[in-house]
Order: sequence, then C-alpha cells, then structure tokens
Amino acid sequence: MTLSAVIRATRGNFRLDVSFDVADGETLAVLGPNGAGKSTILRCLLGLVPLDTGRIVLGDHVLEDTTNNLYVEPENRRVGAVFQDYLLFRHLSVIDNVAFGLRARGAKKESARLTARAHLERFEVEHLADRRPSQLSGGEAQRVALARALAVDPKVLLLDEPLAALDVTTRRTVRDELSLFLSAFGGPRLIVTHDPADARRLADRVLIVEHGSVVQHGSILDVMRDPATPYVAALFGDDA
Amino acid sequence: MSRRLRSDRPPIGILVLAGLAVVFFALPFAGLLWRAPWSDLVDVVREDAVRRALWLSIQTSVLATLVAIVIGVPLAWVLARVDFPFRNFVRALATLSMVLPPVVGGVALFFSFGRRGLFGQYLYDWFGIRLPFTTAGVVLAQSFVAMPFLVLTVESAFRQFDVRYEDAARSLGARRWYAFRHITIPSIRPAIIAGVVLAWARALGEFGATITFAGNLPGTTQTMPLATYIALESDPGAALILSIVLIVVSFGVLIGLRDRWLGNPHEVTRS
Repeated sequence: MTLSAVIRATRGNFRLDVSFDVADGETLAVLGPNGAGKSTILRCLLGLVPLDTGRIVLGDHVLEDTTNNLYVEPENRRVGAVFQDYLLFRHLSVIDNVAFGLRARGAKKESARLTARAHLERFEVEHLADRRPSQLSGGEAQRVALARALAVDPKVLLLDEPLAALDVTTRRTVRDELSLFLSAFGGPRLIVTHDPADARRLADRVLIVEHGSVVQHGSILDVMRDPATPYVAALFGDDA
Repeated sequence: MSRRLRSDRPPIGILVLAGLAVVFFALPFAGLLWRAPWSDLVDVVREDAVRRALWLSIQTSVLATLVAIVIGVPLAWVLARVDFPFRNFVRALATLSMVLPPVVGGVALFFSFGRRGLFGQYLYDWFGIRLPFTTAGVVLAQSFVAMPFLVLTVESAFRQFDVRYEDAARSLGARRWYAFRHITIPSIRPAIIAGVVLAWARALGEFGATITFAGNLPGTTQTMPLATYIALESDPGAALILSIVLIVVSFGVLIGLRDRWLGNPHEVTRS
C-alpha cells in the first residue's frame, strides 16, 4: 500500500504546500529547520489539521480529498503515530496505554490486555507492564509508544522527532534499536526530524522542507552530493 | 554521608511567617473549643432540630455540588477550549456570585425566582413550581454561590492540559467523547476533586443567600449555619456546639478527601 499525499494547508500566516509518496516498507524522512511545517504535515496526515486543498490516499482508501469533500475522521484513518515526547497517558499503566486503542475500538478489557502484552513482548518491554510512564527511561518510553501505536494495526506509521526527547548519550543506541523496529513494520513509514543523523540511519529517502515548501527530494546520497539550498548544504556539510 | 544543611533547610524567615499563618488559623478555634459547654454536648446533638439541620445541610450541600459538577464542568471546558465572542463577559458572569456579598445573590434570586419574580411567577403559574422558602430553593442558592469555585478551578486545569494527548488518543481510534472521558477528565482529576471540595465547602457554609431567598424554616430550609446563627441569640452554648459539629464534619471531609484523592500524584496506583 502506498501513501500518497498532496497537502495544502494554512495555519494563521503559515502556508504549507507539499506532496510526496511513500511505498510499503519504505522510510521517508522529512527534514527541515524548526517552523518549516514538518509537524503540520504529520497533523494533516492524521486528520488533525484539515486540508485547504489536496488529497491523502492510502492504497485504495481515500482518507481526504477536497475535490469531493471527502474527509475521514482521525480515529478511522488507521494512521499510527509516535508523537514527539511520546505522549504516553500519565494516568494509565504501560499495559493500559498499549491497550487503550483496542479498548477505544470496543475490545474487552482482558482481551485488550492480552494483545497489549504481546506487543510489549515484541518490543521486549513486557517487564514494564505495570509501571507508570513517569517511571520509564526515554528509550523505554519510545518502545512503549511504538507498541501502543502498532497495537491497533495501523497501515502507516508516523514518527515525530522520535529521538529529540533523549539525551545525547542514549540517542545513538535508541536510534539503532528504532531502525530495527522500523524494519519490522511493513507499511509506509514517515519520520519527521531536524537531525540529519536520524535521516541517514533510518530513512531510504529524504524530503527537505523549508518555509512550508519542498526544496529537495531524493536519496540521501543525491541530496548530500548536490544540496539545493544553503540550509541543505549546512545540514550535511559537516561530514559529507 | 554528610548532610548539606544549608541547602536542605528552608529559610528561617519563611518558616516563621508560615508558622504565624498556622497560628492565625488555629487560634479562633481554640477560643471556640475553650468556651464550649462540653457537658451539654450530647443533649444538644440529640435535639431533633439540630439533627434535622445537620441532615438538611448535608443533603443540600451535596445536591448543590452535584448541580455544580453537571453544568459547571461543561462550562469550564467551553470557557477553556472554545473561542467565542464575549467569552470574558461570560466568565465574569459565571464568577460574579463568588465576589458579591451572598445577601445580594439572595436578593437577586428572590426577584428572579421568587413567587412574583421575573421567572418565578411563570414557574408557579405554568408548572406549579415554587422555589423560595423550599429545600429546592436552598439548593439553588447554594449552587449559585458555590459553582464558581468549581468552574474556576476546573477551567484552569483544562487550560493547562496538553491537548496533544487527545490527538494521540484519536490517532489510536478513540472518538472525541471517548478521549474526553478516558484521557482528558482523568488527567485533570486532582483539579476536579479540588474544585468539588471547594464548592461543597462553600455550599455547606452558605448563609446569606440561603436566608434571604429560602428563609429560615426548621426542617425545610434551616441549615446548620442558619441554626447556629439563630441559636446564638437564644442559647449561645448550643450555638457553640453546633459550630463544633460543623467544624468536625468539614474538617473530616477535607482531611479524608486529601488523603484519598489528592495524595502524591506520582504514587503508583493500579487501575
């Protein structure tokens, strides 16, 4: 299933105008400076920011199409996300965080917990099931956030600055883990980051966004070899 | 292990002032306890009038708090999350009865919901509903002055709540209403409890609006504060004992709620 998006949206004075495709099993990194509109792209894909014009299609399913007023609510999109700061629900234990989406879709408590436990095992954090989010390390919280997002069987996986909350010493380890976990998810994957190291380690292609528009798009090697703007050059300049 | 006294110990000036505040709160009760005719305690508490006043107070203050929860929490949400014209005007209106002297609130209620009041006459003519000098009137007066405490506390909590948690819930398949009930409300639970306690305490102690709008009918509208005030004229000893009963009930509830629900927020509890 391919995710293809044509997104035009406004937030106050800010205009976003981007389009891209991501294939099954492929990871696209959206790179850009702060305020470039990266997170707004994710919010549009999730259905949290309505499009002015454009179209979001996932395989055969149209999630949004402004030409015929089609809009699927966020809860019905099957677009999974690991949010910046992970946003684990603080009043719920780890296992109930992972079970939340299943419960919201009508699963019984016990069966939801059973499925949740399986997903915790998949990310090797089943021993944390009864903890509170406040008692987790950054790396643990990320695994739980991944387990929570994947427990409801999404067709696309979005990650918003998944490593920004970590300190420098653990970032590299967690990034390596994340790369492994990502390859286990078969659908299109999209990761938003301002760190070129994330893009290099995790992504197959990069989409570089500045001031709400795409300035460059291609494989990392191509982009590094022939940077389109001073920002891109500076981004990969250090060790190109 | 060496103790770093300088950084561990709170500043002495703050301790002294805080101690002064504690004394300030404690001394009035010392006087009351000192003058109370303890030998009459059992007789006074056994009196029918006293028991009826206490029971009425508990019933009406709980009902008034329920009214405040049912319509006050939605109002707090709207004030915090919906951008509409005259929002500041509505917020001021919703907190007005907290700032006004309660007697003014009672007078306002009387001219609106009294038998010949602006709305009261129709309530009576069309539906046969009479509010002044009834227990329902007591609940109305108490809700009117107590609800702002709940609205203000809960609105501030809704404002501080990070709405991205609702977004996360929706991406996981939760409808808006489900996310509101299962994520938003539990996240601000301490503020809701605090608001409920404040509103209930205000309702329990309500005097001015109640006596103005609902009068002082034993068994129907004579709540504990009213009974205490009346007793002060005829039997000061009984008034002291009524005060002590009210203090014990309030203090017990405040302590009980705090331990039960407002304890350490990081404490691990199983759901």
